[in-house]
Amino acid sequence: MQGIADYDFVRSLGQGNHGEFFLAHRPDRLPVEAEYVTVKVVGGTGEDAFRRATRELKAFAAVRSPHLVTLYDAGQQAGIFYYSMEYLPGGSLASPAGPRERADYYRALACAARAAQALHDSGIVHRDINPSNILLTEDGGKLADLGLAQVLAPGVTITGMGALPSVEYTDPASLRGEPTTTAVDLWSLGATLHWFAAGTGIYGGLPVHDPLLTLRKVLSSPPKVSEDLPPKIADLVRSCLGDPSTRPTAGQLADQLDTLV
Amino acid sequence: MSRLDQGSPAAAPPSSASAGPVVRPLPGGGLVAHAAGMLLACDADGELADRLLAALRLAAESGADPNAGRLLIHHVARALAGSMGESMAACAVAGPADGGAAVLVSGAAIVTVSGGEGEVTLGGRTALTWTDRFVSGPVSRIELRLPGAGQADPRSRLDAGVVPGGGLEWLADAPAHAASPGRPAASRPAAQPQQAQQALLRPEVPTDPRQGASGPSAPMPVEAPTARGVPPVPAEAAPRPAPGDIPPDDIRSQPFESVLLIQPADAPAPPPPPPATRFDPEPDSRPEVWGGDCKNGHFNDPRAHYCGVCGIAMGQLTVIPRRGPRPPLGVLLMDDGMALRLDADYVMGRDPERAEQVTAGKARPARVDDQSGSVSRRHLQVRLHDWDVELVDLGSVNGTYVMPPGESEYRQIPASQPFQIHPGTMVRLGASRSFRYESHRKH
Ligand SMILES: Nc1ncnc2c1ncn2[C@@H]1O[C@H](COP(=O)(O)OP(=O)(O)OP(=O)(O)O)[C@@H](O)[C@H]1O
Ligand SMILES: [Mg+2]
Ligand SMILES: [Zn+2]
Repeated sequence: MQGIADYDFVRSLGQGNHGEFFLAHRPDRLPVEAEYVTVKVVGGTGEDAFRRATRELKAFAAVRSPHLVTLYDAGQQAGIFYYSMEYLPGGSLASPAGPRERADYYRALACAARAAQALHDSGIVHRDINPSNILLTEDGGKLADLGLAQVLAPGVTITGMGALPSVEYTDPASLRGEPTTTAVDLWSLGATLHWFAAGTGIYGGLPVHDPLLTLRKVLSSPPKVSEDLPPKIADLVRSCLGDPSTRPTAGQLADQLDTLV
Repeated sequence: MSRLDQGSPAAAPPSSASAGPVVRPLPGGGLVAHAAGMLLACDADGELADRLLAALRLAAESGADPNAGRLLIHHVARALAGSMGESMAACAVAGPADGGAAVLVSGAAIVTVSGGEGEVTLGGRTALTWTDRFVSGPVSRIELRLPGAGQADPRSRLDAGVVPGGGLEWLADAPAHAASPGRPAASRPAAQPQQAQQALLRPEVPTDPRQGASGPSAPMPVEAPTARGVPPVPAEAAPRPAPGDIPPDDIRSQPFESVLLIQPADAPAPPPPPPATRFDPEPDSRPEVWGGDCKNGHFNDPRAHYCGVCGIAMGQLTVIPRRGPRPPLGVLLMDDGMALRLDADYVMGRDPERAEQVTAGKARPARVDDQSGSVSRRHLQVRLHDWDVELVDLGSVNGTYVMPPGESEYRQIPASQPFQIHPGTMVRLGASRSFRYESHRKH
């Protein structure tokens, strides 16, 4: 793709589970200084889905937090839905652009938890927190990518899987179709913490090449907290995976993470 | 007017102090026109330009009509339809409609409207057709822009008439002092809803060319009688292509639509939306069914021996049947990792969006495709009937196959007849795509 709407693409930044990201020149009409922006091309949607997705993104964009990726605009051309946001060159927790210290991961996750709290305070659940949606910055991180899967295709609890299946980070309750609450984001934050602190996921190895088997495993086996984790971190992970009513708030989790750095 | 009483007119620059809407031309190489709140900017050859101006004139005559903008779109779409050639002339129009604005763009023109939906942009970098849209009010600013247009001089005005230019800027309420050049959207004070709406409907600037035209603008002749009986919405607006109709590399031949998401730094923090309603984007549309509560209050299939949530024995005789919203009956796990929540019916296939059940709002679309094309456009319907999940093959070319739990072979189900499936059943559409019905509710 060369571009969409009045965005001219420079290059692809990578294919994700829900679309492709592009580095693009900023069109004059956007009221920001940046020279470059990131455009996510989500794909074909109907008129209704476009309106719903735009409404969700507007609500997301209206939340004030220094730890949320700033969204610029959302649009469609020939039924292809896209949205644009600030370009962050640091890469994500899943694939950092350069070598990073362990403390950077904790700092970035604490930022993402603060961002999640800001969303929750506005009545929004992110639904898709995972290592590829936490982008690294100089002094922490930013939470990206509100989970639009449900909005674009109502009823869909997860859509196709890339190399790193985010189902590994999704509260099985929402995979089973239970109503979404803020607690599902805490599960995802806890699973992300486990992933980089222990070096393995909470389900151990998953048959990533067989999505159906992966899903069955996630739905049928309880998560296991690695014994290699220091007790303090293990407890923190457990509190996030526990009964939804006893999980910490995202803000409380952020405070806990700060003490670990 | 009260505004003049309060202010100190002597200090304000006379050309920019204003209490009403203001139209400013942007410098550039096309033609721009304003009549009675109706705006046009175009870069078209002589004949089309004449027809576009006639369209504006026609709509302007119904100036008092709060829907004049729709008439404008209608007439302009007609003019454009008559001259669709290899390339599309750049053209942008806007006018009042239903308290908001009706806008249309074609070719490489861009329209931006700050209204009830925030800032909406319509445009087409290399579009070969036009698009139109209604933007809800109150509208505080409209900008029509042709390629290469500059910024409006804050002292300039086009109260009515036709002049050369690259675009137009319409402000519901011009700032009392000369605005700093550059982008006005971020610093402009928000227009008062009432006033802005009022202003767009009945511009306070004189619209009679003999009184109002100032500067270089030429009077706009008024001749044809008001068109009566014209449908308020353009009947021949270019149909919007469905996703997939246009190959990805050609999408820029189509107009685009964009909604600004970024908040200006000085905008007031928006009020938080009511929490409870935001957590699930879909309204609760769960149908009521007969069921019974377990001892822990979980609503269950009346036939169940054990609670589907906590597993406790149901004690059939003591359960009092009642009607209640049906909980999700589980999920369908697709082989590509997609999971569909079973709280509504689905139509699966290559192009499910246009299925009758989907357009009627009775089922959700679930797009399922494969390399070999063995999945039909509308292949299979998944229906929830009370507490049961049923499949109906929609007359697919390659059929639907099921493998119930414990069996090892697929068998085809008859077309157009409901076929009940139980948790653990594998279902195959055509040659290669499959899903599994998962539920912790068993009976
Ligand atoms: N704002 C951004 N600036 C720079 N790169 C970004 C930005 N957002 C995402 N990326 C990069 O784009 C790539 C794809 O992202 P990702 O894997 O999250 O895909 P996705 O479609 O969003 O999937 P998911 O929905 O599971 O998050 C990643 O390498 C990520 O770092
Ligand atoms: Mg992402
Ligand atoms: Zn129960």
